[in-house]
Amino acid sequence: MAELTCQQCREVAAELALDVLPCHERADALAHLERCTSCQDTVSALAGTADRLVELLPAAEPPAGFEQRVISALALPAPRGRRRWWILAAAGLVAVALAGGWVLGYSNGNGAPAGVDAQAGERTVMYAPLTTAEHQIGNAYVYPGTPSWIYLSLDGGTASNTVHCDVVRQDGSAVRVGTFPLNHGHGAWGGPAPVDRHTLATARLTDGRGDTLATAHFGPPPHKSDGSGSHSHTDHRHSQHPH
Amino acid sequence: MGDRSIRWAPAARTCDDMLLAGLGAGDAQAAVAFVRRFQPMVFGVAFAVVGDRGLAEDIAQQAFERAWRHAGLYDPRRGSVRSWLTRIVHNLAVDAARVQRPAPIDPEDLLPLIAAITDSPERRALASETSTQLRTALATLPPEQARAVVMAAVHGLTAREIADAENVPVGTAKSRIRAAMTKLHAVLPVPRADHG
Repeated sequence: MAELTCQQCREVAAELALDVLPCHERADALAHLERCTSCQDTVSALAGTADRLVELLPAAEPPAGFEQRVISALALPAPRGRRRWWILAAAGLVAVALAGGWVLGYSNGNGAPAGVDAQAGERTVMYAPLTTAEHQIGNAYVYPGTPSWIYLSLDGGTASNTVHCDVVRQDGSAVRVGTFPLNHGHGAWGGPAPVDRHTLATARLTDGRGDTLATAHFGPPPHKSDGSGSHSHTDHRHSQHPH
Repeated sequence: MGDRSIRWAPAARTCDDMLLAGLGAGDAQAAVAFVRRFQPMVFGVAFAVVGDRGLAEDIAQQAFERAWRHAGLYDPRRGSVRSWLTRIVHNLAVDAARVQRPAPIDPEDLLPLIAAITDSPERRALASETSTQLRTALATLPPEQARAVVMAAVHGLTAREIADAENVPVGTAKSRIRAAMTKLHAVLPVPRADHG
């Protein structure tokens, strides 16, 4: 196999980025990229341009009934229709965004629970900032409907590791609901979580050693019946990813 | 991140993320909202690539199924939900087109698509500055370069297939792709570094 120079690699970078390079040329180019970060950057940048180009394609209305066929194919439970939670969620998020997450999250400060319902009601999205002992590093959203789920996004810190998300109830019991990677403090994950707005205390992020990295407080703090604080018993039986 | 330097994503973006999380969690109402929001884009991409409404519908449906199964793999750092979903449906459509393409693309057939990409007032009204710059750059490319880059980027054609369609040497097709991509890339802003 011929070893490409940077010049030769850049001559095929556009085709590689567009994913239209024939197999043999592609293999040569990829072999070069393994050793050359400069050419990696070039191809990556051109791939971004290729993506932007595809995003310019015009939208078109699908045939009648398409939406229903897709939903049927997903084999999901039929929508109840009584409550359109996404509208409430959107309204709640707009309210949070307009008011500023910080103000809403801490306006009842002085040690009071910082969890904030985006809107009142049984099936609306709940929001709480994800905080370390010192500051906020992300956001947590919980939907206590059926099925219930949680979504976390982190945009602070510097850690690059695998973290675990536990849902902690007010009685101190905890359930591990997900595991996801952090890359330089950034990461996001969402998935099913057995949450009840009346019993939920916190969503807790821990590292591989079980140390708490951050917590989102949704309700009164959990009882410390075992005296272990953040190391409450965690039930690991729940699944990790929603796929 | 400082205590008060929280960067809120735009509400629409955040809602896309949440809808995807709801879809991945199997919430039927989130799924309906997700499909309703993105179906024109998903079907539009599929139809632009394969040019057949029936096949485009099948591809669009597969794209939503794939989004549902892989919602947990979505990484917001790598782009928006819309971009992620666009890549999914485009990859599916190109794969389908490569298998089912009955005949080489006639370059003349590309003109309506290029016109739709570069001159769409209703889309421009809502478009980002970056999109507008890219449309303008595509519109000002020499026609043979615009055709070459659309055949490659949209339809997934190789340089040899483009050369056959245009009746030019392979080297010429490669040069046109490279020149077009270089010019288009030049108008896009340099991505901001994530870390200082």
